[in-house]
Amino acid sequence: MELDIREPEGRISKKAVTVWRLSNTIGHGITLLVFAGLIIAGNQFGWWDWAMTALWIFGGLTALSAVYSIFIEPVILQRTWRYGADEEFVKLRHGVITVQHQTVPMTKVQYVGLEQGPLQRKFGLYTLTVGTMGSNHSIPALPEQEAKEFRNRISRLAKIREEDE
Amino acid sequence: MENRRMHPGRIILSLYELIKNTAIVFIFLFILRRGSEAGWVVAGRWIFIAAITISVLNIVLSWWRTTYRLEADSVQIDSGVFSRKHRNVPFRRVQNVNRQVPAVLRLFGLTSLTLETGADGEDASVKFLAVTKAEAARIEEALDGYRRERMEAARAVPGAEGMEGGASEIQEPLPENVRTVHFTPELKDVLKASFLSFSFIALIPVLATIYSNIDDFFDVESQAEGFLSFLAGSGVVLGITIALFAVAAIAFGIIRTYLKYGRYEISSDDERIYIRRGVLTEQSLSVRKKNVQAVQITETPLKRLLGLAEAKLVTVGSFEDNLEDISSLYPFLRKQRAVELVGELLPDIRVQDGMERLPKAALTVRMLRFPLTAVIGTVVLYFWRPDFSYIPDWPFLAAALFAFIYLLRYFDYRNTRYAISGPFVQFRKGGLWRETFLSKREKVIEAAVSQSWLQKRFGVATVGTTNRAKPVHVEELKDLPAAAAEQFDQWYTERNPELIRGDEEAAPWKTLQSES
Repeated sequence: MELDIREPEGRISKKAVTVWRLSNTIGHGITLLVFAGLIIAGNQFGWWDWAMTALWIFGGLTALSAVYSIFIEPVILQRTWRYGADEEFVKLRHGVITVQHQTVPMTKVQYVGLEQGPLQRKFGLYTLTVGTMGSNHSIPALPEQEAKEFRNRISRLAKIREEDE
Repeated sequence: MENRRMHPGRIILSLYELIKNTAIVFIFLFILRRGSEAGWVVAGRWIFIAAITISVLNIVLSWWRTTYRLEADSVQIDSGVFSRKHRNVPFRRVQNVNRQVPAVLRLFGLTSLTLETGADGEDASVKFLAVTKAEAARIEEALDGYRRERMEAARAVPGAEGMEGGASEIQEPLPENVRTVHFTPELKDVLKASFLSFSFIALIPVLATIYSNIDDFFDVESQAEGFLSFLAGSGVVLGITIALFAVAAIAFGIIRTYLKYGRYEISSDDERIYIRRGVLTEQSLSVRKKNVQAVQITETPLKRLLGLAEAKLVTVGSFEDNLEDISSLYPFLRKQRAVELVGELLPDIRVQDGMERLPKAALTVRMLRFPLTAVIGTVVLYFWRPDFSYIPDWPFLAAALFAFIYLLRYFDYRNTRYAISGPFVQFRKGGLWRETFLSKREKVIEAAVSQSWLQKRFGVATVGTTNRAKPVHVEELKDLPAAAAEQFDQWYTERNPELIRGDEEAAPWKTLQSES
């Protein structure tokens, strides 16, 4: 039974799929290379058998998770991400296997920030961070226009309230 | 206002600490090796004298160079012997006030006062390490005076402060300083506490510390061996030794508990809660009721057997290391009394009795979850294969581990309760250790609802709250019915009904659409 919670309507950019695919390919690629290097070295220098077994097991698991996080996860994650803000709350919904709904009151928002990594810059995307007194939440992959409008909107709405003790 | 220094008692306190920390080196260099003319001992003595001289100079100078000034709305502190440092701490940042009076200060009728702010790092608190009682009262008065003024100002401009407390606060009369004492322990409470806190076991580490300190200088081991063989030689001597040790441990435990919990007092007035404890070293704390974010009631297995519980306040602002546990209200109260006490101290918080149980489906979900701890434990057992007498083989241990984990899951399911009603949210959970969490909607700074794939199949979900504290207090309740999770989300978004205007309530959820 799916939860019947009114969800926000803002979606993140479709280009997010490409960005995540690229970054996950790079990340997992490096990890797999390291495993490959270790396995080759192990064969060369005759490491213990249990160490080689462990290397093969963990290497195999990494390869499986690489398939998942390069080909499957980005598409579903992009499709399921929702964000939004009204006068009272910032709302986020995301997650593939576990769906998370987060509600942050405007009065508790301490800062909003935009970030852009090198890959994101190539695609003109921004990550928006909403920070509260104890935690922060990121909305990944917003196009420049939306990112800036949303940031200004939150900072305007959050500033209406006076400083919270 | 003029600049003031701490009381010169500050110097005595620092000197006392210096002596305490260096005594063992002194004893070694000047008493144990007094006849020695070895080069390193002589050098050591000179280095020791030099270090002590510098420390003493530093203590005196830093006392001399530290001044503070109370302004109408802040306290200014200048410190530093060579490089000067100026700090300005506005009163509105001060969250809690606490006092700690070490025995040394008490001899001189002094006290120490700490103002806790919500900030991070070393500037989190302002410490007046040695001031007269009158001066401490003056500082607290300056703080209270500022607060009263601010409340009056808020009253003059309606709505200026009504954000958190709601409109009702503004109409209230200004807080009068009538303190009600809610709890002081009797002798039987102290006895109960000393057994339940297992403080008699604390004799062992104390002995171990003493032993290892002495062992650095004497060859205790070889002497102890002789002593041990003497003990083993006679059953009577061994029995007497064990009995003596037991008596010593219990006496030690009672004394230690008495020193900590013997003079305990929980009191409150309209605005604050005061907790004071300690016989030799007095510690006290005052917390604004408005700063209490949540209440936690913990029952350890032993306490559950005896019907006892510990109520703890989750507050804004941090405490110093040795004060962390002071925000708990006397930890050995009968559960009923603990609940009553919470009600007395915080009239706007109510511990609810009628809580909902989890649905049957929750038990199924919990049994189906991957038992990671047990699997890892089994793998470890498989490779380790402990081989001791009286300990069964690893397959039995692994089976016992699995049985234990699943039993805990069942207990946890049986114990879990929740209530979401009015402005309150209340969770109870735990297999052996049982914990009840209670907070108000306006104190919850973030709400989360989540549902995993497995939970979706069985129509349950997880809800979570975040409260302000240091670090933030995150509470989570797993596997309540999906309908209740939806209700929880609804409950939270109706958080500030007075701020939602009628027309906006009906308006659709406004967002920015992404077209790319």
